Amino acid sequence: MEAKAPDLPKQEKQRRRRERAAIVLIILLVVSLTSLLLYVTGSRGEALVPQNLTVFLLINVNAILLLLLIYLVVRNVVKLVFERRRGILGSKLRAKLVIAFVGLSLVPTLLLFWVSIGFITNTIENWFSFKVETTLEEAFSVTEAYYNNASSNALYYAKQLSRHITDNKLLSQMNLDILRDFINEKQSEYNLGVVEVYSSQKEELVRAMNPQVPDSNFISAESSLVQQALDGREIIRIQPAGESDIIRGVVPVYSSWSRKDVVGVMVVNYYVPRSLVSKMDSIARAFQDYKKLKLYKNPIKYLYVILLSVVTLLIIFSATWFGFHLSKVIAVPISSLASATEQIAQGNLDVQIEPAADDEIGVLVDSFNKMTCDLRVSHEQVEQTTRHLRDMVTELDHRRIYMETLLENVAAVVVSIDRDGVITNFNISAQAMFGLALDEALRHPYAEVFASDELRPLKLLIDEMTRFNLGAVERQVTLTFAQRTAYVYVRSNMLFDDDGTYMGIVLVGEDLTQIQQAQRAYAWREVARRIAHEIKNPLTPIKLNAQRVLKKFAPQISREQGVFADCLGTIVAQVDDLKKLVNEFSSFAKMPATQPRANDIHEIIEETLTLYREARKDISFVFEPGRSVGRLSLDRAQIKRVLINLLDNAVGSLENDGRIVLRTGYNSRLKMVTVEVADNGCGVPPELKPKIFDPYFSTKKDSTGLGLAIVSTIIADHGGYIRVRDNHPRGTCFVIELPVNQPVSIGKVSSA
Amino acid sequence: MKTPVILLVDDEQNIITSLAGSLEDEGYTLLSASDGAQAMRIIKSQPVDIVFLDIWLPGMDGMETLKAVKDFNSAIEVVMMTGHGTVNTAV
Repeated sequence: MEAKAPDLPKQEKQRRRRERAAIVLIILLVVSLTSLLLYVTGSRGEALVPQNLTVFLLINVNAILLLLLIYLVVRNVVKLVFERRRGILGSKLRAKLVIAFVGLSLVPTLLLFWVSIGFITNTIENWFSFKVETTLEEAFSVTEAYYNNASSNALYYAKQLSRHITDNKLLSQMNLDILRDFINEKQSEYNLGVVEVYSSQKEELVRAMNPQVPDSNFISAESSLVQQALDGREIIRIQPAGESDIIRGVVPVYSSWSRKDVVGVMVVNYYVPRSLVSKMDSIARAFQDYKKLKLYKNPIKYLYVILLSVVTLLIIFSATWFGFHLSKVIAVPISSLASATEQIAQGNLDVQIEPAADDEIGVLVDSFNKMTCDLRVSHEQVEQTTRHLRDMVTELDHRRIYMETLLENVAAVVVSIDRDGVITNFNISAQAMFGLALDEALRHPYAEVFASDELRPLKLLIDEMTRFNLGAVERQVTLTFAQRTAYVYVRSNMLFDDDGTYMGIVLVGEDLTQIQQAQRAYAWREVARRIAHEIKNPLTPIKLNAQRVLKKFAPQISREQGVFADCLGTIVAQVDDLKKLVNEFSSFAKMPATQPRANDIHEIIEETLTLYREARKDISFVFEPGRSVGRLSLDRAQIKRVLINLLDNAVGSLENDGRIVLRTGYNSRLKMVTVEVADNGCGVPPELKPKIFDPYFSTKKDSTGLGLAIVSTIIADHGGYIRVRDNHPRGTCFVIELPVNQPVSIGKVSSA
Repeated sequence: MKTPVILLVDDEQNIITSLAGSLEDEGYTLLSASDGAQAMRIIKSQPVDIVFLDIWLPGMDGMETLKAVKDFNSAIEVVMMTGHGTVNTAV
C-alpha cells in the first residue's frame, strides 16, 4: 500500500491522517475514562449502590470506544493481510514489524492480566470468606444475647418485685416507707440500674437508682408505657438514653384482693453504658455492611476483571497500532526504496524518492536519489557515446559496403594481395577475366592461384615487383586461355601505410579484348577502304577496254576467233568477280550508319527464315520465339543482314540432316533480348573462336571472310554483343544480345 | 545529222579514256570534265546533249552537278554512273 506512497492521492492521505487522529483520540479517551472509573470505584468502594449507574455508563462508553479502536486496528490488519496476499512491496516488512510489536506487548500484558485476575479473585474471595462471616455473625448474636438477657432479667426482677409488693400490700399509703426501703434494698441487692414504682394514677411512688447510672442521662418511663402496664401487659423496651441504652421491664402490680386489678406499675431499668452500646453498634453496622457487600461480591469481581481487560486491550491495541505506525514510518521509505530499485533494475532511471525524515532512512533516501541521478547521468553519457559509436560504425559500414560494391561492380579487374602474398580481394570482373571462382582465389596465396600456364604472366609480374621492389608497374598482359585470348592492361601498385610499412599489392586490370577487337576491325576497315578504292578504279576501264577490244577487233580476227572471245570473256568475268569482291569490301568498309526504328525482332526473323525455308527445303529451320518484348530499336535492313550472314554461315557448315534453330529470349536483369542461331554442323574449333569475327578470316575457300565481321560490327553498332559457343550435341551457336531500352548509337559512321 | 554531244564527267582519267573510246566507236562527239565545276563551264559554253556523270566527284559532287545541269537546261539527258552498285544511290 505504501509502495507508491508519493503517488497516493490527496484524498487517501487525508483519510489516513483522520484515521490516525481518531485512534489517538480514542486511546486518550479510553485512558482517561478508565482512570476515572478506577477513581470512582476506589474512592467510594464501600458505597457502590448509588454509583452503579455511573460506573456501568463509564464501562459501556469505554467498551464502545474500545470496540472502535479494535475496529480500526482490525481494519488495518485485514488491509495488511490483503496487501501481503497481493504481494505489494513493503507489506511483508510491515507485517513482520506489526507481529513483533503485538508479540512483544501481548506476552507481558497477558501474563500480567492473568496474574492480576488471579490476584483479584483471590482477594475478593478472601474478603467474603466464611470465617469473617461467622465471626461477625457470632459477635452480633453475643450482643443480642446480652440484650435479651438483660431484658428478661429486667422483666423477671420486675415481676418478682411486683409479686412481693402485692403479697405484702406495700402499695397502701401507710406502707409507703416500707415500700421505699424494700425497693432500695432490692435495688442494691440485685444491682439493678433504676427501679421505679408508679401508682395507678401514674404517679411515681418510689425510685431507686444505682449510683453508677449517671443521673442526667436517665429518663423516666413514658406515661404511655405506664398506661400499657396499667392495662395489664408486660413490656420490654430498649430505649436510648443519651449515648447509652436503657432496657426497661415494665409489669403491672396487682391488688392483693383481687388479683385482676392493677393498682400500680413496676419498672426495672437496666443501664447499658455508652462504650458497650457503641461497640455493639459498630459490630451490628459492620455486619450489615458485610451482608450488603456480599450481595455485590460478583459484580465487583467482574468490574475489576472488566477494568483489567480494558486496560489490557488498550495496551495491546495501542501496541498494535503503534506497530502499524512505526512500520509505516520504516516501511514506507524502505518499500519506496525497494520499488525504486526495482524500477531502476527495469531500466527506468528517472525514479526519485520523496525525501523522508531527518533520520538515517532520510540519509539513505538522499544517497539513493543522488546515486540514481549519477547513474542516470552516466547512463545518458554511455548512451550518447554508444549512439555516437553506432553512428560511426554505421557510417564505416556504409563506406565499407560502398567500397566493396564499387570494387565488386567496377568493370576493371581488381585484385589485392596482402604482404604475405595472400589474395584479399578478387572482384567479379577478376573472376570473369581469370576464369576463377571467388573461393578458388580468395585467401589463397597468389603463387598458387596464378600458377597455371594461362595465368603465369600475372605471377611473373608480381614476383618481379616484389623481388625488385618496384613501386608501380604498368604492362599489357596477354592471357591465352583454351577458349579465348584476353588482353589485359595491368596497373600494379605496392601499397604502403602512413609509416611506410609494406601492406601488399593491388592489381587493377583493364580488359583490352574488346578494344583490341575494335582496333583490329578499324584497321581492317581502313585496309578494305583503301583496297576497294585502289582496285575498283582500274576495274571499270579494264572491263570497258576488254569489251571494246572484243567488239572492235572480233570481226577482224576470223581465225582463232573463239580463243579471242574466250580470253576477253574471261577477263570480263574475272573483272566482274573482282568487282563483286571489291563491292563486298567496300560494303564492309563503307557500312552506312545504323538507322534504328521500332521493329519487332520476331517479325524480322520470320521474314528472313521464309526465304531460307523456300530456298533450302533439305534443311529444317526451327524458330522458338521467347516471350514477346515488343518493339526494339533496330535497323531492320542491318539486322536482316546479320541474320542472313549467320544463316549463311550455318547453312555452309551443315552436313547431312541439317537443322538450324533460332531462339529468342529476354534477360530481365540485364534488360537484354537474346537471339540464338544454333546449327548442328561441323562447329568451330576452340582455337579459332577468338578469330572468327575478324575480317577476312574464313575457313571456306569461296568466302570473303567478311560475313561475321559485318555481323559483329552491326551488333556493336546496336549496342549489343555477339558470342560464339559450342552447340550441344554438336555444331555452333551464335548468341546475340541486344539492349532493350538503350538508344542505338547513331553517330558511328563507316570511316570510308 | 549532227552527232549527239556527250559530256563525260569523272575524276578518273582511265574511265574517261575507256568510255570515250567505246562511245567514239559508236559515233558520238565526246567532251570530258574531271569535276562538276569544269562540267558546268563546258555545258554553259557549248551545246551538250547527254551528260555521263559520276556520282563520286571531288569538290561539287555528282548529285549537286546533276541539279545544276537540270537547272541550267532540263533538256540535257544525264546518265548517272557509280562504282557502288546500289539502287538507293542510283535513284
